[in-house]
Amino acid sequence: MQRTWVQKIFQPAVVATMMACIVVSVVQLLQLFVPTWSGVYLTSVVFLAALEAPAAGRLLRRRRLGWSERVSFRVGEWVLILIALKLGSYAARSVDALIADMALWQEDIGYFFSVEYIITIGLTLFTWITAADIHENLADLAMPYRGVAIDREAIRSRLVGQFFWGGLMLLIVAGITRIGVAQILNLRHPPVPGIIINALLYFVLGLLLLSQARLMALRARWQIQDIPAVSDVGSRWSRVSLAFILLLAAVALLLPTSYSFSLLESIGVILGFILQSLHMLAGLLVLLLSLPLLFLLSLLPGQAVESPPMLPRSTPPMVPASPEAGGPSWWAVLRSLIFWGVVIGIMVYTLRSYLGYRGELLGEVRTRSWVARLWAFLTELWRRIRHAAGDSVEPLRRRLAELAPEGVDIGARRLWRWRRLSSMNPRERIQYYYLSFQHRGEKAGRPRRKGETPHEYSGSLRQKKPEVEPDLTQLTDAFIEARYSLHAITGERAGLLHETWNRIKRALRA
Amino acid sequence: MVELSLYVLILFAIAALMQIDFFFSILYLFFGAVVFSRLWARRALSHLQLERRLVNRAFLGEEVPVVLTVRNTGWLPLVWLQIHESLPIDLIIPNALRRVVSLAPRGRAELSYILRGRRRGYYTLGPLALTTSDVFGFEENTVRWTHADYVIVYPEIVPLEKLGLPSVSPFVSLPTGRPRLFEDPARVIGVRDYHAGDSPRHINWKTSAAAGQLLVKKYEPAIALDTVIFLDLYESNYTRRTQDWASECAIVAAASIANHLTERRQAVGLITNGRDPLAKEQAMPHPVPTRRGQAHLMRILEVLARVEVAGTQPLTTLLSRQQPELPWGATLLIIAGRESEGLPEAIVAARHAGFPVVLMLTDFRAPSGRIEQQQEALGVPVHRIRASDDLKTLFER
Repeated sequence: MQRTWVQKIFQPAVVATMMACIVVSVVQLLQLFVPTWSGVYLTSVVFLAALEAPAAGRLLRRRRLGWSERVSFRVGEWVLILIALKLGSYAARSVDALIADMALWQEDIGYFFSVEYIITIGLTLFTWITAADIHENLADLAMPYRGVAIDREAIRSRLVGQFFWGGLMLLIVAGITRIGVAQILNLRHPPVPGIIINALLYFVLGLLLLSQARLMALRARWQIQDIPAVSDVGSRWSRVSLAFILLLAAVALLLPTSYSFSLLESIGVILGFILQSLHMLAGLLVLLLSLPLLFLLSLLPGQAVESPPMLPRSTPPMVPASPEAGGPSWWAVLRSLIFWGVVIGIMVYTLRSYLGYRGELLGEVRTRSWVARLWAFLTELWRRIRHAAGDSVEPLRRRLAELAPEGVDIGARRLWRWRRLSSMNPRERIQYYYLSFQHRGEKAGRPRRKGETPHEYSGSLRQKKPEVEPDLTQLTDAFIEARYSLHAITGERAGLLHETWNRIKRALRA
Repeated sequence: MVELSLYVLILFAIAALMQIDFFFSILYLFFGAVVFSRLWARRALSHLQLERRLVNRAFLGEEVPVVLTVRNTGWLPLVWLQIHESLPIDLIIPNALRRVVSLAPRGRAELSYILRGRRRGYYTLGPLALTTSDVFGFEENTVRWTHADYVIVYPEIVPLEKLGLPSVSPFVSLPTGRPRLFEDPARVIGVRDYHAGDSPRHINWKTSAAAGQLLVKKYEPAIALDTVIFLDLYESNYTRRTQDWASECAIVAAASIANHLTERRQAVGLITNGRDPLAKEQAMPHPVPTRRGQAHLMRILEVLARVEVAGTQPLTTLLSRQQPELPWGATLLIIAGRESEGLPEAIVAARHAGFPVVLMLTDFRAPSGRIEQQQEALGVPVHRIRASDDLKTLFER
């Protein structure tokens, strides 16, 4: 199979960068203990090792070596890697230091395997193996059918797992580094602000890799099933997935990550606000109701009451303003509310998804007697609320429509019409045009009689308005098609009818 | 998906325990990727519009180009969409259209394929399955577009010589001097039940209203040249070995004769006991009354395109039931595989009722029956339909 640039360059680079992101966090943790630890060296070594792993794997596959040859190849490869790691650690130091250390190695080989070197080997080995495994999975995903069925779903699941657990390790290490080892068991430490760039990069690249892995799996499937795919799938896929992930990252960074008020406090603030608003509204209502009463009372004849003598004005002592006196900051409340809203949303969705996939569990919970009763009560309550709301709103809407003055009504209807038209599908739009035409015909003095077919009705209007005869025929035909056909009605057809409908309206108005 | 829920919960736990603000951002990113990508795929599928454009009638051997248009009416792109349309194997090989397209917001894709009318019949196109997923492959969704278009491939029409019939008149044995009869609309003699195809002008509205069902006027017969084709597709009247071949041959013969008579401006009708896939409970098609003209011929051909061999009603029963409804004096042209039991009696009864009868048999393996042996005495011409090489190859395909 022809390998694309995505497989040749993009995937190795992404995997290597992700490995480097993990190691950056590890290095930062190590630097807490050994501040002189060379982070750049270790990160570069890991990056190169993660690049080398897939290249060596491909070479082995291409040469089709036997088992013993493969072992010799791997041993030789690792001897070279170990030497390169050792020599590389002297890159920032002088050659004299290397020569001096070489003399020490001859005396005692233990000097060769320093703690720093062993940790470097360990991290390199870990990233090398992980990178090789990820590339192996990616290659399996992209592999077309070769006589053996490949469980691509299992491979994809493994890849998601590798991505997630790697990310989790990165987060834990980065978290320990930021909180401090001493504070790690203290759960009441203050929140730690700031962006962890390598973590963000890891997750963005990981999602991109998963997206590309999905494309590769699909391409393999299409190849096996001999389904031709259009050429622009790959390019659109890359563009769309990149834009989607970046947009998600931007939104994730903008959302609040902490709260100033606990959940109950936030709810309390909102309830307080609602009560205050209701109180104000009630006051306003009482005032409005009492105004005519006061006016009537003022008309009654009566004696003027002597006003009591004015008391001397006292000046209250000045109280220093406190920051709490002004109430909670609305921005902080809003942020807290968004935060809790998102967190509760995540929890509910996750729980729902889990129970959804465990349908029998949800069914079992629902059959418990008290849960079943509660569930039945809540569903019945919800049904009644909806019913009551519908019953009360509908007469009000009708009454308002009747009461509204003609001019206001037309404007409101026009607004409603545009809002509705944009949300209608082509079939509904055509039906709307016809019904509107019928309504206007009725206003023009020719209502549609009971039992009259659309063609008969338009025929009678044709005699009255012969200038729009073709338009009437076109609209009636389109209506019959939209009303009775089963095939799809295109938006273009509905769009063309809009002008026809306008012409008929103008003619009927004249 | 369970694993994804678990991952989200773990991320939440880590973020809540460590109280590092940025971990919540990572949680939002991961959760957003899981949720919104799935919502996207579902929503995008609900904004698809499909349309098939085709001419749904074809003669045998004709090509029918079909254009399938897929429109994305939403504002979200559909990065991949797999289209799988099931098609009749008699019209196209392989019998499915499978493509993968990518649709931009408000974009559309057109797929085209060509059907070949290789065998007469009524064929439905579809259903069509549309599959897509989110870009991460967390969820794959498939929707079915059940709207089915259809294609009718008319039976082959061949010159009568190819069927071994005389081209001037297949009814050569009919006494030429005898006057033929048809209905005279000026002279109403009664009413009968309405049948599909009867002219609305012949409906007796007052009587229909009183009876609660549609009734049409029966006219006094006058001189006629009407022919009613009785096509026998009763399963038991064909031998198992030759059933496919002989029944198709009977249908081709019926179509060719109907065409021949229409060209000569003679009225022709069709009554068959085959199964119509479009009729309720796949019953027999409604009898096509005797009329003239190309439009009427097309109606007959449509029935002949759809009709299939079935065990609905024996030909003899059909003959006796339909006889009272037939135009008086019309020629009954019976096309059958072989002489079935009771057919000679039914034919004699028809003859006595004043209907000239012509019998055509298509099953060449069937032995000669009573009618064939005594055709002179009975006054019933019998033709053995000889299929041409073209027909043979048609049925051998």
